[in-house]
Amino acid sequence: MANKRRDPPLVLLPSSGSGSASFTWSSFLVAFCSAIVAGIAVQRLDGILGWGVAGVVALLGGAATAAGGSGRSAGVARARQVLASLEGGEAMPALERDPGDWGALYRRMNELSEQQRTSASAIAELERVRRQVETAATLLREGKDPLTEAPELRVGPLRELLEASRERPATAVVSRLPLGEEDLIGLTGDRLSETWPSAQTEPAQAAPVQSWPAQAGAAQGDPRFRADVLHGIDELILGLDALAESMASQSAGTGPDGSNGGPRTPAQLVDAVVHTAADGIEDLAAGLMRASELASVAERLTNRATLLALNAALEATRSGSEAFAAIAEETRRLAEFAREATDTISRLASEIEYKVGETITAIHATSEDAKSAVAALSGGITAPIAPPRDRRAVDSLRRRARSLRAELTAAAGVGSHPAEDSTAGDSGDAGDAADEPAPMELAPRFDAGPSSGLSHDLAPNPSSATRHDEPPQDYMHLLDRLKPGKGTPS
Amino acid sequence: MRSDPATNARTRGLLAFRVGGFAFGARVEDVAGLLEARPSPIPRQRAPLAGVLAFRGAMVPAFDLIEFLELDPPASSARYAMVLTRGADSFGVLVPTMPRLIYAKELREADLSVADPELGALIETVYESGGESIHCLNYWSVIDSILPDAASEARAGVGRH
Repeated sequence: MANKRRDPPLVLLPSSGSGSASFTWSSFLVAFCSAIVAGIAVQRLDGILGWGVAGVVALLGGAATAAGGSGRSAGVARARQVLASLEGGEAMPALERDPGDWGALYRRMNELSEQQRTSASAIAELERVRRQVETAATLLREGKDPLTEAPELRVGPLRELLEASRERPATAVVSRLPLGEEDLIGLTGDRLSETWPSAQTEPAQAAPVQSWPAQAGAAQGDPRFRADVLHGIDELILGLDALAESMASQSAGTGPDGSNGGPRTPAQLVDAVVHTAADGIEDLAAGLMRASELASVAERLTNRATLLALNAALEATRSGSEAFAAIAEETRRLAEFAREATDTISRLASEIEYKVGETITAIHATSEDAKSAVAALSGGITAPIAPPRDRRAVDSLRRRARSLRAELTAAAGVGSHPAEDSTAGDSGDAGDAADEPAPMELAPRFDAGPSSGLSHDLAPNPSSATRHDEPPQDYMHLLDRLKPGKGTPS
Repeated sequence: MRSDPATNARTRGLLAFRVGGFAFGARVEDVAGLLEARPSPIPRQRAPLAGVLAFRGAMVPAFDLIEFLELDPPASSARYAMVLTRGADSFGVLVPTMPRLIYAKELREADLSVADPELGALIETVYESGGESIHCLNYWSVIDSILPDAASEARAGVGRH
């Protein structure tokens, strides 16, 4: 970009010396006054005296006018000296150190001259680079190596880029450029240049140097290639759909299968654990209350057994029968045993109930402490796992993939839906099943590294080895077919 | 051979219980049975009458000994009924605790002078067991005082009219 430094306005201030517009008016005024005084002297003074006074006044006026004219002539001469110095490139140290207006004028004129020379040099450099770019583009369209055909490109700013492209032709050039692919090629590829030297590093294809349009035409006629591309795009769309659905489920707090297994904050997890424990212990307390009721029933039974034993002993005592007394004694022992057991059950139930109550109280207190601690550690942040920025990026990729597929389908006239076309290799466009190509490698790449790019994502190569050996014309083919009015397959 | 303990204490045993700091008892010969007290109230019932009890297919009146002696009621609401019988007459005595059986060999009949003077003429016999005085009340006179004889009641009613 050009330097838009604003230059200070060049103003010639009125000088105290000669050479200014005010000096011209003063000279004119002196001459005018001299003429009036001379006329008055001739009219009032008769004879030689009048004419003598008029002559003296005229001489004074002429001298004054001459003095003004000589000053202006000196200013003009100095200006001419400054211009000559600027045009000839000669420095004028004395004038440069002059603190007056002429010194300021000289320094400002020097600055403007320097800026003009810098701008002219930059324009010349840009023009040279533009010519190199045009040369390189022309050679690339002709299928030639720009570095070999144009020696001036070996020293220019394009040398590194051209060498890297010639050494690694399989890597997409666009991925190494600082611009995004959308800036380079547009959404439909309408900004893409047309050609690339495909045969420079391909010995098997070196004999017929095939230009890009020729390769594009050959690829467009291949139904397997078209089916591969569609198949790859469909898998990419399905993967993006699954990823977007997963992110949406995470943000909604549910798992990918719709269950309520989504991510929760640590505070929520602590709260859930504590609530689960408290619920379990409260159930236990309810069970203990029922056990206490049963213990009460057992106590009543024990009382009745004791009463029965006492009645038996009473009857045995009254009757004096030893057999009855023995039975009464056994009944009493049984009643005592039942009472001891009932007392033990009641005591244990009371102790457990008391301890459960203490535990419930402690759990509730611990829950509050844990929630406070977690809130203090996390700063109260309840962030979802997938940030909205990532979801928007995935949605953008989905839209772009669908748009690409739609345009490709419209151009090729095959396929209708990603799910239907996920087995595009089996369709009629794919040709014979025996010739069906191997499944593509379509791992989505979201990084912006040097090896990433659409050429890798969409390349229908079955193996990475052959993919790296091939030029990036498969991506070029695809984009060329997306150009409006160009590359429509038969 | 087993000796007859009644010849020593004039009883084969004693059903003892405690009410209001006093130890009371009833001879086993007078006791027909023990049961949990759930008396049913009767019309025109007055304290210390507690109602009637079902005992072995018969309905017997019952009175509350605590109310009769005007003692403080215990904390527990459980009550037991000791049914006393003499001939064809039976009645129940409500006691707050389950009585315990003390055999005659553990009893020794004491003089009435050791009895608590507050109980006065209500005491029929005093026994000692384990250094404790057990007072056997004259429950028949008590029930007679609570439930006047029906014939005398009828006569009194006729005389008033």
